[in-house]
Amino acid sequence: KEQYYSEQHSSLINKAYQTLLNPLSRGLYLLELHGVKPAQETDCDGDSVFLTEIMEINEKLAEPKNEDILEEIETVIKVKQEELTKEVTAAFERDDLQEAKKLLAKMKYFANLEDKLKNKKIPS
Amino acid sequence: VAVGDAVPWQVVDHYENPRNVGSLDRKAKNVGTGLVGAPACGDVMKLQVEVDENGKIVDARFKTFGCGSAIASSSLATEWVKGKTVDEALKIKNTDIAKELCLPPVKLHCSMLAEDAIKAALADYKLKQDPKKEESEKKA
Repeated sequence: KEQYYSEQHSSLINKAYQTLLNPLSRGLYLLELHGVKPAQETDCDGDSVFLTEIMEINEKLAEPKNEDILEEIETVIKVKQEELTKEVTAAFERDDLQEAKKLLAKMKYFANLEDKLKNKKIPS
Repeated sequence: VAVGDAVPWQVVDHYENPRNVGSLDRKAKNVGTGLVGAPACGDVMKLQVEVDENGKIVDARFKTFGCGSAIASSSLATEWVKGKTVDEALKIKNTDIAKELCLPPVKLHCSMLAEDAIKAALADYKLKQDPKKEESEKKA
C-alpha cells in the first residue's frame, strides 16, 4: 500500500514538474487556477495577420528538408516563443487574464510548430 | 492504443487521398478566402472558394495543418461546397461533416473549424463583391 501511494505521488510530482517547466503548460495551469478557461472558440480573421504567419511557417516546414531553411525557422520560432513568454508574464503580473489567454493561444500554435520542426530534424 | 481510438476509415481516406489541396488566387475578385485557427489544439485551416457570375461555387481548395480529423473535415468541406450556391454552402453544418466522417466526440471541434472556415471564405467573397454595402449592413 505504501508503494502504491509512493508511486501515485511520484507520478504526480513528475506531472507537476513537467507542467511548470514548460511556459505554455505553466501559463495554461495559471489560467486554470484563476478560474479562466483556455481559448476554445475558433480564431477567425480577427487575427488574420497572425494566422497567415503560422500558415506560412507550416508551409515552409512541409517542404522537402533543407537544413538552412530549418535553421531559419527554428530561430523564428524560438524568438517568437521567448517574446510571447515575456508578454504572458507581463499580462499575469498586471492581472490581465484575458490578454494572457489570447497570448497563450498564440503560444499553442508555436508549440505545435516546434514539435513539427523536431520531427522534421529526426534523420529519416 | 485502445480499440475505441480507432480512426474512422472515412478520416483515413481523406487523409491519404485528400481532395482539393492547394490554393486559389486570393487577389481574384471572385475568390473568397477563409483562414481560421483552433486555439485549443493549434490547428490552422485555410479554405478558398471560387464563385462564378451566377453565385455558384465552381472551385474550392484547402490547406490544413493539424490532426487527421481537421484535414478530413476541410477536405470534405471543399467537396461539399463545389456546385452549391453561396447561400446553400452557408447552410453546411459541422454536425453534417462530423456525421459523414464518423468523428468521435473529442474531434467534433474539427468539424466546427471546417464550418467556420466555409463561413469565413464566403464572408470574404461577399465583402469583395460589395464592400460599401457590407459596411453599411454592418453599421445597421
